[in-house]
Amino acid sequence: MKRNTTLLVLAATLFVTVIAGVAIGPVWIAPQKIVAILTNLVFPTNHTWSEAEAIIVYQIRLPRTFMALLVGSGLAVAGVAMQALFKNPLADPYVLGASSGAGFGAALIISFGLVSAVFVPPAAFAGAIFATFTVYALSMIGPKSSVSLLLLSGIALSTLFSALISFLMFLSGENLHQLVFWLMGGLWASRWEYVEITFPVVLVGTVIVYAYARDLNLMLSGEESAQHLGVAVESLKKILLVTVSFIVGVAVAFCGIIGFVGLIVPHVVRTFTGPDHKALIPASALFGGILLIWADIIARSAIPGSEVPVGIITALLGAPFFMYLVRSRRKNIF
Amino acid sequence: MIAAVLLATLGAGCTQLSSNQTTQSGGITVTDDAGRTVTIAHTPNRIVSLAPAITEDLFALGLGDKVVGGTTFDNYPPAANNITKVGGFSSPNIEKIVSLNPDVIFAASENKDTVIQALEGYGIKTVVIAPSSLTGILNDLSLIGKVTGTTGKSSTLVANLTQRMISSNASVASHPRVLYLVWYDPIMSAGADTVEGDIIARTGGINVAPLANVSGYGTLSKETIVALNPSVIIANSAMNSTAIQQVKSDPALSTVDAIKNGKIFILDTDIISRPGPRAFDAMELIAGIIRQAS
Repeated sequence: MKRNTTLLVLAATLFVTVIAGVAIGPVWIAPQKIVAILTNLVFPTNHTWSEAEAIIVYQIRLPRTFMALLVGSGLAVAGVAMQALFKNPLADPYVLGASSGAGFGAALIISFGLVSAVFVPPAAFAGAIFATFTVYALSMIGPKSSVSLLLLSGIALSTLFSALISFLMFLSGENLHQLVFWLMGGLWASRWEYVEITFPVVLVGTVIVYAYARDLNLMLSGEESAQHLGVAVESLKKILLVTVSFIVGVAVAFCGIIGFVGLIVPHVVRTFTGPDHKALIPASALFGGILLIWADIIARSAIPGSEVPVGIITALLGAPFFMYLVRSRRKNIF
Repeated sequence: MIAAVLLATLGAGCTQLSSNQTTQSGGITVTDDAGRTVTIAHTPNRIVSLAPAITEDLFALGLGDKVVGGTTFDNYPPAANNITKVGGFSSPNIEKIVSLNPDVIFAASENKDTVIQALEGYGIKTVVIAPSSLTGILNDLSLIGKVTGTTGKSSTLVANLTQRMISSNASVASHPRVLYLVWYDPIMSAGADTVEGDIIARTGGINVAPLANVSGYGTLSKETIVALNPSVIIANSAMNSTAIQQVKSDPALSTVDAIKNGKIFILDTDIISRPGPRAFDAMELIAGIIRQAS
């Protein structure tokens, strides 16, 4: 497929997916009512719906669908950047310890009983940034950072933070279930204020990564040859690491730890766009959004009336599909 | 099963084949809340409790001075604070328990099977106490009475509590829809098969959680709550003031009657979520709330 055709198809699919995200849920609302409620936001019309139906569409499903779109896109773009930067098909936004750093920050706050939207996100955010910079500092050999040291220290720091999170869970008693649910990842708490914070972070993050699309293409030929071809490798690493930790920090802060999206989306998208980052980055952003919205539709509909953590759905669908992908394309997976 | 009871009973050196009855030698065989058959050879003097509610049961039966080990959460009656701690609910320290040399251990449903198996492996009799209704609490008080040889005290206590018991479908003007909040983010509530659910139904409320397929303790989606529109919210005090504030100010819940009309009541988690004698205090508090709202 031509690049533009691919992007158009994905954009159209995303549009349909957003509509599905607003239309499908445990409470049945007739499609014409949903259309009327949405139309009313722009052109006030006669109320043919109840106040509760309007609230469900406008205050619950709409912010939740947008949150899924933004977080899915952000994690996918972050995954693309990490995989290219480290020239490693296993890299994902969480590999640098950013998620467990964010997880520890939030878990610390939750276990102190300071549960609220005011304290948890900044703590998660601080944890993500702290973890990423610690890992980066640990990977320095002289003026350059080594990719293998970066990955290894990322894994070590993740393990350390995971152990600290487990310890907090062990100690936390009454706050335990909130921690458990938060770590499994979910979009149930989505509200417009979260969308307002997440939107600029993901948008600016995606634009920054896209601006370095050419450099990321060159990185695929190896760090040294990229340097020779004029890529400022060290500053590229710093800029993209900060960008990714901003995206991961905001995603983890509001939605907990949603695995697999950042890992599989770039691989799936590469199969129809090829490795060129000029196509891969926007296509992954669109596809990540589509994937997480559908995963969330399943999460809220699987057990009617109840909430299944969306992280379970993404892993449950993602892992087998990824295995299939790895096997069927084993010769040119990356 | 019968064979097991037979063997256990014979093992205790008596001739009677019947559960829940004192045998001639003073040994006793009971069936606990996990359906396990346990034979206690002689009246226990050293007791370990693995849940705060069980500790409250034991103190209510006048066995406080026999409790040699309890959980870190035990705080009622005040004397329970002084009991040697053997850890939290799901993860008690087995070595510590064994070192206390108990004659019997009362475990809760939160205790993992592996913990119970390990304790039995050390030859310590373990009885699981896991009530899911007010009647269940009364049965368990009788059970503990039998195991500990305090049937006199337990039948008096059970009789007193039975007198207080509101016999289902309390006479209320109308039946308000009640949402019991265990936690917010995600919203968690209690189904019909819990003590809290039993109390709400018994005192004349309509518990909305089972209508959203919640059994035991489980999550509810916000849009289901908006659709079910509870007129009363009873929140567990494990939700602190910040969490309560979040519920009150959540734009997604703004059409819910309970929030519009300020019908949010907070109950002490130690009373409402511990299935011991104080659950009857919770019942009276909730009955008051529902009477006022109906």
